[in-house]
Amino acid sequence: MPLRDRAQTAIYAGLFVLVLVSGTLFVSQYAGSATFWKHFTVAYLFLLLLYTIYLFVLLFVNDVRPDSFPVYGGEKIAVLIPCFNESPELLDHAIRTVCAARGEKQVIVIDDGSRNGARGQLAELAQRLDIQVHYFTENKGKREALHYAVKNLIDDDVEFVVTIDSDTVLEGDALIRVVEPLKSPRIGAATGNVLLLNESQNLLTRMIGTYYWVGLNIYKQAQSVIRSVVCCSGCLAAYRAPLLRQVIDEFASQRFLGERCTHSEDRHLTNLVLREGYDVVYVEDAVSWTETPATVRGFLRQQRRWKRGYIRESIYTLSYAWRTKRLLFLQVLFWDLSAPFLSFGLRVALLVTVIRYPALVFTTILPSWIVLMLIRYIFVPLRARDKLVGLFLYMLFYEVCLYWLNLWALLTVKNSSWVTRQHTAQA
Amino acid sequence: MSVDDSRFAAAQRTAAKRRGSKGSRLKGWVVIVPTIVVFAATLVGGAAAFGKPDYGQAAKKLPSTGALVLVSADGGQSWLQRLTSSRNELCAVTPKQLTQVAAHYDVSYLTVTVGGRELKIAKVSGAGANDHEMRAYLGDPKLSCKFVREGGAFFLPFDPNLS
Repeated sequence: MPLRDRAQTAIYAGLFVLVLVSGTLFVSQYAGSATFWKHFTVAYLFLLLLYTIYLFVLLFVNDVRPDSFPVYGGEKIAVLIPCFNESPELLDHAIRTVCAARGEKQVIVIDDGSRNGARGQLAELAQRLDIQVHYFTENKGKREALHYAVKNLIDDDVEFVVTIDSDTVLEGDALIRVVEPLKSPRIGAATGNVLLLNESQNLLTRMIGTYYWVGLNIYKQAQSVIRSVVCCSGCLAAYRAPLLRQVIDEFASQRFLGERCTHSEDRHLTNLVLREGYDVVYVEDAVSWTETPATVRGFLRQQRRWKRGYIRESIYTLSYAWRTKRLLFLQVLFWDLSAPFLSFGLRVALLVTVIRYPALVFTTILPSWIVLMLIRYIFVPLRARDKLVGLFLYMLFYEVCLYWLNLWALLTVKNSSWVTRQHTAQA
Repeated sequence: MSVDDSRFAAAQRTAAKRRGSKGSRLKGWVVIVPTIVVFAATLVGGAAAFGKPDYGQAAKKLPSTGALVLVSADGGQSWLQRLTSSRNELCAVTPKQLTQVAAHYDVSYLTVTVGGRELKIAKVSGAGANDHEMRAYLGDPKLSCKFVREGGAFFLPFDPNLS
């Protein structure tokens, strides 16, 4: 077994140890002394405080010295749009907006074995618009689609490659904004802002809108300051073409714990760029619009897949980042990957407290939680006041449901099914 | 506006400079810095108070009988009951009962301040130092006891992991 695979297996096992230790320490207070449990809780709070201050410092740096990138100078961009059973209207819209977007471009659509009639529609579009379409006879997955396009379809003079999802709508200048950072030789990839077309549809989509806003404008923005954005979103991501050609074979053949990986390909591609020592940045002004699942079931399916990918790719990050991105390594090791599992015992303790003193939920726990949440996410009331309701909803939904999905994802991390796609296909 | 309309409208937009000016963003830090100080102070305070028993809260709920004793609450409980109840109980006893307790168990004293008033609590230890056995020993099944809550710290934030 190669060294990297062994390291990943060890880290994966280590996550179970974290859950076990956290749970054992919680139980230890009833079995004997509570000293270890108290020290553990204090250590967690210290880690939380340290991470929060770190996050705020990065965001402060971003406000004092915002990134500025060279202006797009007409370099050729290949735009790759893999699609599988996409709704004809959405696909039509996505392709048209790409074609209308500014920039010198080669637009390539890869139909990944769709069975919903998209093939005919694409052939028709290809006659009217300046696009190339390639068809797979059977569904091979997004990785294979990207791999094929990079190896066989993009022109030799292409400097940047942009990948977008087939249901994404690009703003007019999104394409050139997202590639501008790549003119700096140290930057290997860039990702854009994602807004929701159906945010006002219901309470769930409002909640998800907040989740996106916080994820992008707090977390991704902070990661961008250390030039280590961990995921170039599938909605809109740009890569340096020679770098992509260099890593694409490895990308397509990724395995984790012996299993072939299918989902979270965007996160893995970003990992490969970071591993090669390049910077990855977030461009707030490169805006794409997408739709989010509007049902709890659909959202949970998506989250299940994302959380598996999050665990797998965070483990991968630890296998190389000490050499190329030391700050990222420390961040992933001490917070991103460990906090969800370290906090297992604390969450059980919270449940026990709620059962033991139900009245406390309304008199102490919830009010203090809301106040602390507002402070930690002070950027929401300051910069996106319309997302406050979504913030409260997400906070509750996370505790009741999404947190526990982390544990489920840990147990089933090898599962490679792409549940939302299967259901889309069935629909 | 239908979804299709919103898609069409979205495609017409261009770099909308949503982030605001550098000046306005920096002004926000006048609010952000004090709030992060409050956040830090709250977490440090929470950590400092963690696990500390709140005798005052339990004492307030007990009738004034002249003396208070602190005993373990685990007599005869299942593991589930132990998990969902406090480790200690504060019981209100008469001075005569306190003398009986002191003669039978190991007793040490601690003083707490409740509502500006100093209260002396007899901490009972040794074999059988729990409410269950003490009630039996004193022959007073109606002895008033209240669980002593311990300070907790449960701020567990979410970290959104966008894939």
